[in-house]
Amino acid sequence: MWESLKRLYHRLGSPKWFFQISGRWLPYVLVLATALIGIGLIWGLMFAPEERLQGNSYRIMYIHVPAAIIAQSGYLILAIAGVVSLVWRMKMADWVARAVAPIGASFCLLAFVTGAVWGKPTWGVWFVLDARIISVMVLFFLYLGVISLQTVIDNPRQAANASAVLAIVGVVNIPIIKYSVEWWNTVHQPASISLAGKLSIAPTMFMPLVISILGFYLLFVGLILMRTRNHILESEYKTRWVADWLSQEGRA
Amino acid sequence: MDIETLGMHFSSFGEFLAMGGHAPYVWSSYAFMLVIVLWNVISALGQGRKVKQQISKRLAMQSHANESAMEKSL
Repeated sequence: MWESLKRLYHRLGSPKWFFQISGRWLPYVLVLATALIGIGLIWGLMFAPEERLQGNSYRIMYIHVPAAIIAQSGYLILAIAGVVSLVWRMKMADWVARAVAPIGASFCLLAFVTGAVWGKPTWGVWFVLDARIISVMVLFFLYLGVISLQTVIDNPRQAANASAVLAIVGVVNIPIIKYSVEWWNTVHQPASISLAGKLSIAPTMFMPLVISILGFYLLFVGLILMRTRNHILESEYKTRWVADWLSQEGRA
Repeated sequence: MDIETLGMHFSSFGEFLAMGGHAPYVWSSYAFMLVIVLWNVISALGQGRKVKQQISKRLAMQSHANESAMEKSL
């Protein structure tokens, strides 16, 4: 078990291995993501029942919740990649971090905007100073900080170090986001779903949400693969295998 | 799951679009989602195209430099 994990880790550190495997999987990931998003959103928009108190505006949940999950796990990936980059100087970790940051930031913005639009008919206001909302805003600014450190610093090693440190320090915000609805019980409703414990949502509303979350998450994975592959090409273009791949690509 | 939950929630397309009076909120959220998803896909593809152009330019410059070096040595 430990040995196979170690082998996987070393393979993940190899740009060539990652590039070949991801190239093989990418089409399937993207097709499955599109299908699941389509099913989840059509089910959620047209077939799921109306919410008793919120009416139809609750259907925003089918994009708000996946976006919020992606925004947070994107930041966790940044922090993990940051540790790997600082400790083992693995270039793959830096490329993954560069790939994830803009995607995570965009989904964080999506979670924030859909939350505001959902808040208007539900709470009567677009925006309130609520712990959940503030911690998600902090998450967005952390993303912007990491992106600017990655892009502004010219030296790749220094850029990777600085952005890794910010990503790791900022990760304290993730549990704050998670528990903000319990510690400060203001306007934002507590989680509708959790991995452990009772479901506080009707199964007919829950199924499309699960499908939508899976679909968006697969899209997220596909986008990470696409961008990471670009960073690999950019840095490894002098290697033999990239030249071979490019000439094959040119003939195709 | 009973029979009713298997059917569509709205009785007409107009009713579906109206979202029980919540149309502006629901549809603007879904429209913004589309913008974010499209931005992600287009920017990832554009990044790939740019990288490939950059590589072919660099490789062309390199082979040009190699050729002129060879000419000089001759």
